[in-house]
Amino acid sequence: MLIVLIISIILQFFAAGFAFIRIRKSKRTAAWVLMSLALFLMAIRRSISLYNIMSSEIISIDAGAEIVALVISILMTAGVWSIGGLFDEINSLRAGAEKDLEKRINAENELKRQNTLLQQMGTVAKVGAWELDPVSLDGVWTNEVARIHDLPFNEDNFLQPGVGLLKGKQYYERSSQTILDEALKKALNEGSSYDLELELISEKGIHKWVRTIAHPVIEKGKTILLRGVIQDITEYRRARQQIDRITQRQEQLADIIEKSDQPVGFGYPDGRLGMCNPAFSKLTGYDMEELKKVNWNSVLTPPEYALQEEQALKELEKTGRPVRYQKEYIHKDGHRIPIELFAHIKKDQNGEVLFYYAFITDITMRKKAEEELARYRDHLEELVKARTEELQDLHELSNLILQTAPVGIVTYDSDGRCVRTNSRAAEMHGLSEKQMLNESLSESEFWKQSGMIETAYECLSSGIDQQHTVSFNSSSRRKATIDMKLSRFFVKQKPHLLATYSDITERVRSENAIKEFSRQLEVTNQELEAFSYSVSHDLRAPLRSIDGFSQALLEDYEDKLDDEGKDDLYRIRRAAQRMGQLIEDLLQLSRISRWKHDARTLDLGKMARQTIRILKESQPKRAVEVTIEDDLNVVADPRLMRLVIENLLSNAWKFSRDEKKATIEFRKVRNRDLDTPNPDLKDDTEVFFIRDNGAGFDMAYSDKLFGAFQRMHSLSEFEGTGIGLAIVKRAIQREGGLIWAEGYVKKGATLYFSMGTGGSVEELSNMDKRR
Amino acid sequence: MLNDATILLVEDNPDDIKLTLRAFKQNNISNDIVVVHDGQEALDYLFAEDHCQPEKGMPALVLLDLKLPKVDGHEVLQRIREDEQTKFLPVVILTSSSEEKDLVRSYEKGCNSYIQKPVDFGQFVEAVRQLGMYWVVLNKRPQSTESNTL
Repeated sequence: MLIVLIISIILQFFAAGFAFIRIRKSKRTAAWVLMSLALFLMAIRRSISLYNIMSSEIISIDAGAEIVALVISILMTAGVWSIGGLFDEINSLRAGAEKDLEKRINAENELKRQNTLLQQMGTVAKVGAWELDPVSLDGVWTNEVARIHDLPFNEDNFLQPGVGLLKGKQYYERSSQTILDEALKKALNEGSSYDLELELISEKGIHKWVRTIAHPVIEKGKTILLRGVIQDITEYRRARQQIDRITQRQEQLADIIEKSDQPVGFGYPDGRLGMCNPAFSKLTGYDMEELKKVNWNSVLTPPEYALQEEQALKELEKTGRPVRYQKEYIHKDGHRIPIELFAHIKKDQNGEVLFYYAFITDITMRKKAEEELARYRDHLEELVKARTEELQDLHELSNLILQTAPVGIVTYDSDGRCVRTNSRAAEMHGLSEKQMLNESLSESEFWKQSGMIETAYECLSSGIDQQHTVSFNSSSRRKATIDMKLSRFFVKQKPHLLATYSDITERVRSENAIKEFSRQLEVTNQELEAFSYSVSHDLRAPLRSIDGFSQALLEDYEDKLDDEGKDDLYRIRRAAQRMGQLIEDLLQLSRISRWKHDARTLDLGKMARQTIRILKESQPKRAVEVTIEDDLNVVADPRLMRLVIENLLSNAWKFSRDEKKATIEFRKVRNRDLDTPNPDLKDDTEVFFIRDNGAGFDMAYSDKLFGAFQRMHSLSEFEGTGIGLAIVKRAIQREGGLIWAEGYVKKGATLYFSMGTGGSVEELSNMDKRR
Repeated sequence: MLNDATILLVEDNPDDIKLTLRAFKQNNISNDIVVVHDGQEALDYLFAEDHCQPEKGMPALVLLDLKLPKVDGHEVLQRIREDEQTKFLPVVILTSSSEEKDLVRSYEKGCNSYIQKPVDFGQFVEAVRQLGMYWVVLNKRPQSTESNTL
């Protein structure tokens, strides 16, 4: 029986354990604590019963009760065990419910998040969505659509009622509206989608560009719903335009570079070439394809330029400022091209070199020009050298002239300092040349004496040349006269004074002597004139008395005078008259010198014919053959020439009167055509002559022919005063001509004369032509 | 043939006066000839101090020598031309001079003629005849001056 008891106790402990383990799962603490505690305590009580039994040695065990207790313990253990299963079930059930709930909460959160994200996405992308009922023309839109229209909307509701189609259309700009209308009509009637960029004017009046896309939902061939999105693309369009502009500019720049004559090349630091333009290709001789493989550093650049280029690029890298340098390229065919590079650099954000680019100029021509220039310079230097030598020679010559010139030459600068001088000038100043150079114009004793200081400064400032004759007491205390010329010239654009002076003391002295002589001559002339006047006036009066009263005697006392007395009186009268004639002729001779000369064109032939006519009238019985050549024109004084012609013809007439066949000629010839040309005249000078075949004269006396009162014949042979040829000679002399005669006794005489400077008309007109 | 007008002869040389008068006479010029012997006398005759008319009336002709004592012929001529009463009076210069300057000066001062006395007396007589004929007989003068003077 004891065994039963022990088994039931063990079972009871098991039941308490089960309760503790399994009910605890239910997480109902009170339930499992109470249950397991109750079972545990029951097991304890049974254990105490067992102890009592064992210790009392009285063994009184109710077998039946014990068995029932054992059954109860078994049942309790089984019960607790199965309740534990129930709790498990409950627990698993509860866990499933909790999971479902969690799932639902998660789904809701997800939806919320999506909603928010959508809203944010819409706001950021400025995209809104809408739906339109084609029948009612009402619809819904997302709040972004409202925002695009600048219309109010509810923040919390993503989707909300829109304004409807009719009102919505009003927000578009007129031309956009037309496009939209067309598209909507097609969408609703034909079910076609559209995608448009339109201009919208928002509620606030802001112009916006929108892209609107619509897709109709079609059922049974009918549009039942129009669904679409709208996006504000104002910014995008602006950006796009800007990009367009930039792109266009880039294209233009690229085009310019492409078409430019200026070679442009891009090069990477590793030596590869980047973009190059055709001009670069042309310059280097490589085509565009080949250039891709060309190394600018090792292939294009000759090695001797490598270091220089490296330094230039280093500098460029350091400063970032473009550098300009010259080098050479090796052309594909191997020849060298001198170039100038204008190199630039492009770096990335980290300051690493991305590439270089350079504008390259072919300076072949420039180099050539430089060489040419250098050649010219050399040539010029030679020229300058030659010119300098020339100038040196000239300088020496001018020095020589300066030192040997018979005039004083001295130059002063604008401050009056003596710059150059010569010995003659120094002599006039009474100084040495060295002293002269230390002397200024305003302090110079010479200038003070001459009183020309002001004039000199005036010439310096005005530039007007001055010429003065200055008298002063020279250093040697004698009175000197100089002819001073002042003129201005420029040295290095500064005015200088050039003074030259010639000592004209001697000239002035002789001029004064001449003046004095002239004055005396004038006085003599005046005396002579007074004398002539007296002669003409006073000497003739007595002659008139002699003649007059002789005549009176002859008339009043005719009957008282015998023939001899009458003859004497006649002789008295003839003598008086002859003296009157002599006086008249002498006066004539003296007057010739005093006449004012008046030159005009004269026909000597005409003058001669008039004279011959008068002579013929006076002696009509004489038969004389007179030949007067045509064209005997001269330019001379008419009164003088009349004296000449009248006297010469009268002589010819007179001395040929004994000839039976008297001839008189008046001609002209060239001097060289004469039998004996006059050596004092030029060959082609015209010589006039008057020739007769009369009494002639003895050439032995030809020198006396032209003297006053010189007669070749006695008065009984030929009358005359002997003054006629003297008058002729003086008249010809006044004309500047020569007169000479040729004759033989009883074989006629020829009187030659030439005209002087006035000359014949022909000579004069030739002179005019020469001018 | 000749009228009774007076001729004034201004001449200092007595020979010339005598010869001139002889020449007039030979030419039958019977007009009164008043002879004065120098320029001053001539002026006194023409412009009497009391401005009375000359006793024999204004001469019809003045024969004037140039070289005269006191006042020379040119000055006499000038005074004659300057005076209203005598400015139209015919004045003939009768002189020995044939100097150009004498001729020019005489004409400048307004002489009516200039005659050089020839040495040959025959020629002189002829000259006197011609000038007498011309100036005393042929020549006409304005009446106004004449009436004033008469």
